[in-house]
Amino acid sequence: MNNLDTCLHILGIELLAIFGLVWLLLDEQPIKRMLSNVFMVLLGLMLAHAVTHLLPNAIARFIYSSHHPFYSKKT
Amino acid sequence: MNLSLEIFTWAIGASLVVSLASLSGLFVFWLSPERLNRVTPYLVALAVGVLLGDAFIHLIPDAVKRQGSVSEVCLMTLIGVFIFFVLEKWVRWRHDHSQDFTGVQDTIRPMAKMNLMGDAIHNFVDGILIGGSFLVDPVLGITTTFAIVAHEIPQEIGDVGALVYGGYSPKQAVLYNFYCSLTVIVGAVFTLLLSQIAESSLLFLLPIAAGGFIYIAATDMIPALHEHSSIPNLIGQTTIFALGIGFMQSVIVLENILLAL
Repeated sequence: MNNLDTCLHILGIELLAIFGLVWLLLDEQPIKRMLSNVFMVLLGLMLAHAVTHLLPNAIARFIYSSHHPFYSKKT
Repeated sequence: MNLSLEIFTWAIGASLVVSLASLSGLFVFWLSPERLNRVTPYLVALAVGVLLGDAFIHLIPDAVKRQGSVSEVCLMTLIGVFIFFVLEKWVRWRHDHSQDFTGVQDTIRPMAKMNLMGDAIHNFVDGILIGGSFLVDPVLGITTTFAIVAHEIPQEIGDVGALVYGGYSPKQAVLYNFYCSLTVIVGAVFTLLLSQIAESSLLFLLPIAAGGFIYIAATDMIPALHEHSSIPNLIGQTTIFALGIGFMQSVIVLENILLAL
């Protein structure tokens, strides 16, 4: 609940879903192009965040999950 | 009441969920034009049941709980009906005016435009409720969001049907309905930044939204239902009207369960 990363990821996924659905409904090409650019930028940001933060964290958690000092440092 | 970046982000995320729910009207694209034409009167019947149910089962009792005075809430609801009457007069005047001077036939019925305005006010109120509940407690915010989404989905489906009936194409109906739903975010941000003013504005916004719904359902949609008077229409529309009311009543039960958790 207090993790800002989780909040931002949920927000990002919602925005991607909204942009995707609204893109399907629009007829004007310039607006469609702008929306798809925004969609790609947002997707890029989320992927970059996942690769630089979430993935290393997940790997570290996997490697050190049985390592006692890892827990003692976190707590 | 403490506003942190997390609370702000959660409230915006919850508002976006409600906006996403407004896209539930996308199902109309799965229907062929002929089938959509046949289904539209039933969707209007659903919209009537849900709008009246929302006004009499949710908005007015909530306003009475906050205001404490039934007579004041009734007066504000009447003012809401009056405001929407004036709005419709204005929309109709513009409708006639554009026909006279530009020569362009506006095929959109005033009912559809009124529906969009009413929906925008209602969504703004929902945004205030979401923002306010997140300020009190994030868990309460999530349960409030679920309750709002539960009553929003049938309403949006009915609204899309009413907008198609009002002359919009299915694409326009879903898109404009979505644009109106973005007022949820405005309402939530307004509450998060100015919680005291937003809380007190609910005292008049809730009954005015209720008055708007009663006006739209009773004056614009119910007469439209009477245009179809065959026996299958009579049975189908009556059943769906009742289903709309029943659904809004069942949302009350769901709300109570969620809030008891």
